[in-house]
Amino acid sequence: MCSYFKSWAAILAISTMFFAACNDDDKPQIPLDAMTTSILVNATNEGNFTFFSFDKGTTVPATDSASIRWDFGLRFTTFLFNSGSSGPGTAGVQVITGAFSDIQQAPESGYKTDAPGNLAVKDDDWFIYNPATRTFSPKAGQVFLIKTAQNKYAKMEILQADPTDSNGNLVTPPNRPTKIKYTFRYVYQPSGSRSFNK
Amino acid sequence: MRDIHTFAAVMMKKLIFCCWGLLCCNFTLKSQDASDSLWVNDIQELVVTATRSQRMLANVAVPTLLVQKKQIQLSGLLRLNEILQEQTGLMVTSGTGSSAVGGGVFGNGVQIQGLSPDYTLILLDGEPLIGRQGGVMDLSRFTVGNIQKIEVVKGPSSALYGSEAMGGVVNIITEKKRSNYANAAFRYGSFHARDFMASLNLDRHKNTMHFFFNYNGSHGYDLTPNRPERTLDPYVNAALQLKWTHRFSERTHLVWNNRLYRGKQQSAFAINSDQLNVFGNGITQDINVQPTLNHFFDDNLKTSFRLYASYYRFTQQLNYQNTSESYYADDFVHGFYRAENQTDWTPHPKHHIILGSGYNLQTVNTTRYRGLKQQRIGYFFAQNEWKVSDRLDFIPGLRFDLNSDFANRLSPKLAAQYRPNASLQINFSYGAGFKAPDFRQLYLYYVNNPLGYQLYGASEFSLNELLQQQRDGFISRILPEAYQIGRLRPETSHGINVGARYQFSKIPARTEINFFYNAITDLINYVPAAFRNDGSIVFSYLNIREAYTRGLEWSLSSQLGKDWDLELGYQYLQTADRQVLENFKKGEVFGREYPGGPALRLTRRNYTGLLNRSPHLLQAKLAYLNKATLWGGSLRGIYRSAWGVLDLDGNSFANMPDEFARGYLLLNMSVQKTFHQKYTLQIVANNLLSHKDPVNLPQLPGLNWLLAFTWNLF
Repeated sequence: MCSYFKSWAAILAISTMFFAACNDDDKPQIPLDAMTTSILVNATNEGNFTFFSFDKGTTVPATDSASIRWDFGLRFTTFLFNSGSSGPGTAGVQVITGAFSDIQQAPESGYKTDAPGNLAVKDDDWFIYNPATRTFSPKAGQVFLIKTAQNKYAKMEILQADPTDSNGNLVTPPNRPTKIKYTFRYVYQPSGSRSFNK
Repeated sequence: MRDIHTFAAVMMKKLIFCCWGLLCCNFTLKSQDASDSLWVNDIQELVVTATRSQRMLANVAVPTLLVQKKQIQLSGLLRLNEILQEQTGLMVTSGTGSSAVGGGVFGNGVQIQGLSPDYTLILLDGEPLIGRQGGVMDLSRFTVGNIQKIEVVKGPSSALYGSEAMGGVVNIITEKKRSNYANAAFRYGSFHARDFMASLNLDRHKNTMHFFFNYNGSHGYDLTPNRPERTLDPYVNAALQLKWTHRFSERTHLVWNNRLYRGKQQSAFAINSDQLNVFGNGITQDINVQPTLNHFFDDNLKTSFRLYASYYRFTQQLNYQNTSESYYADDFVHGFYRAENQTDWTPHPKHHIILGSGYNLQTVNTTRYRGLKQQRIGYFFAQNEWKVSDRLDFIPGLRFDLNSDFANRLSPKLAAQYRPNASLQINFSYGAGFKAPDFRQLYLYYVNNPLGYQLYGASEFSLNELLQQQRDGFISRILPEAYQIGRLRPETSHGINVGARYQFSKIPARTEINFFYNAITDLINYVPAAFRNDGSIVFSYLNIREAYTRGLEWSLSSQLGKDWDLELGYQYLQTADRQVLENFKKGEVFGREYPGGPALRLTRRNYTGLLNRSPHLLQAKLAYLNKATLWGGSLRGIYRSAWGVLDLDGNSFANMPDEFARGYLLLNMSVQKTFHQKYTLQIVANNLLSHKDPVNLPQLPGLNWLLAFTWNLF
């Protein structure tokens, strides 16, 4: 696009085009700040889910599971979203392949909700399990686009899943973990807009 | 008339002698003529693996590597994996054998032309060795004590050898001499490594008996002092070989070869504890029985009948020390039985034809399968070595494998050699390779609840059962892949090798270059098939992946003066999974810069190919042997560039530093002196630079030494 000409006239013409291109949008695009956080989750399919609220930016107690105070719950590798069979909220999610920072706006539709025996997020959407090495890793480039329990929008990317003991200290094979420490980053748009810019 | 008869009889004897050598790895004939050089293999040296019949190395049109006893002896190395890793283009993969729980790390296999150890056929005196753990044959199981030579054919060779010969064939050829001798060797070294071997060879009239015994043990070593587990726990093993040759007549010979092996590997683990609390042993047993009957009808027709029975068993029992409760138990029994005939026929001086057929029966019984599993393969192969002219040979070949459990397979090959002059040979070969789905891929029945997955072999997988379970509410989702799982096809490859060998005329040196390309299709991989309501995943096997490996290999061997020898070898390798290449085109490949880092879009330039492949592999060897003073020694260097070992960000290849193993240089040396032609004293020091990498190279202790004493009794 930035072609290269020797004559002044051409440079002038190019400059005009350049300005035109840069000023497609009138206001500058400043992305909302991304937050990175870690939560401890049960490493088996038993016990309580760990519930997280984007609005608070923290986990919420399991006693609040029947409220709309949480957006997603996580246990081992199972995600719940606060809607349908999982909770009273209106949360929804879609997992897309892309670069987290490229996504500037949440889609208008296409959000899945939890149904009995058919949860919105499937294991193979976001991680790979390697039976040979007995490890699982979050796939890079899988972005969760989320409509929260209270109809706000967020995008989230899981960065790391570490096997730990119940205090969050790493454990290595052959020892078995009791918890998994998930680290993820997210951008939460509290205004209700689908845009992830300020 | 009588003269003619006598002449004919003498010729016949000569011929039979030659052919006899042919069959049993000739060296009585050649050892006198062969070059004194250690690593410049005489191009007249005979090899058997490339065409299943004895041919001069120079006349073989496929890439072939020959390692001779004198090279093995001078290096002072003891196990097969150690010798192979010093050879051009061979890369030995990592592992400490059965030390790991459940064989999680599967030992030292050999990678040829970038194909994994699963795709390398390992032969002992022409018959396949069994006892693979997770697809890998642990080569440290084999002593090199009575190996006469090792032949390695690179590139797909299924047209002669059938399944598994996709990357190549390693043929270990044991001693066969018509002479009387006895020798013994004692070795002691670092980590209380001890090795004893004894050979006795008796040749009387119609019989030759060869006895060989080896005992090998070590206390192991620890590369991770901050962890309770040792890197390698103590082990001992013993091997016994008994080879009997009986010559019924000048024309009919029987060779009866038996081998016994037993190894014990101790294991100790700290399970949810700071101290060792789980102990046990892994026992490996291996028996091979191999009778061969050879008959020469006349100088143009010979046939050999071979029977082969092999039994392999690995048992492991690990118990908690306090409660004596079992922590882990494994029992794996593999049987392999074969009957085979091969006939060599020369109907015309320009055509040498071999025809063969055989039948294999394999049985496996293990705690991880539901009962005893069997596999039967019948096969037929044919090859014609057609000498088109003095300068040109064509070698077409074909093999057909019919079997009980998967699709039948036709494997063709075509090799050609052109000799523009006496010192240059130009080689071309095309070969098809295949690997039959292994027992694991067919019959595994593994329900691992703590980790939340179930893995079924394709033959144990039942879609109807999954559908029923879905109706009963146990399964939340069945993936589209589940509908494709069924009869597995063999994994297949097509390989092309183009190269040249040049023998310098003025100096005793030889160089060789070879370009290779292997297109691999129908690779079998595990795939998720269904999700259960309890969160666990059901996996099975499917032919899904396609890949290629390509590269070049170069070697130079030269004598430097009277007593010195130099050998250089280099391999450049590129590999790729075709699905990943497709994903790059679509811009759908992501990765992280460090574990836990944000995901970034990657481009083709970031691609490093299949895991466990080093792009650069360099071997340099310098040897000295003075025939007058009987002093000798060698210095060998092996450089391997960094290689990807794991995938932490879900893109299936290594891209961040944590996913790679460091490249390294291994320096090994030996010095020896022979006294009174009878006693040899040798000092061996391996890994002089003391490179250590406990995670990726557990089989490599730091600097270690060995003192050897060899006594030739007679």
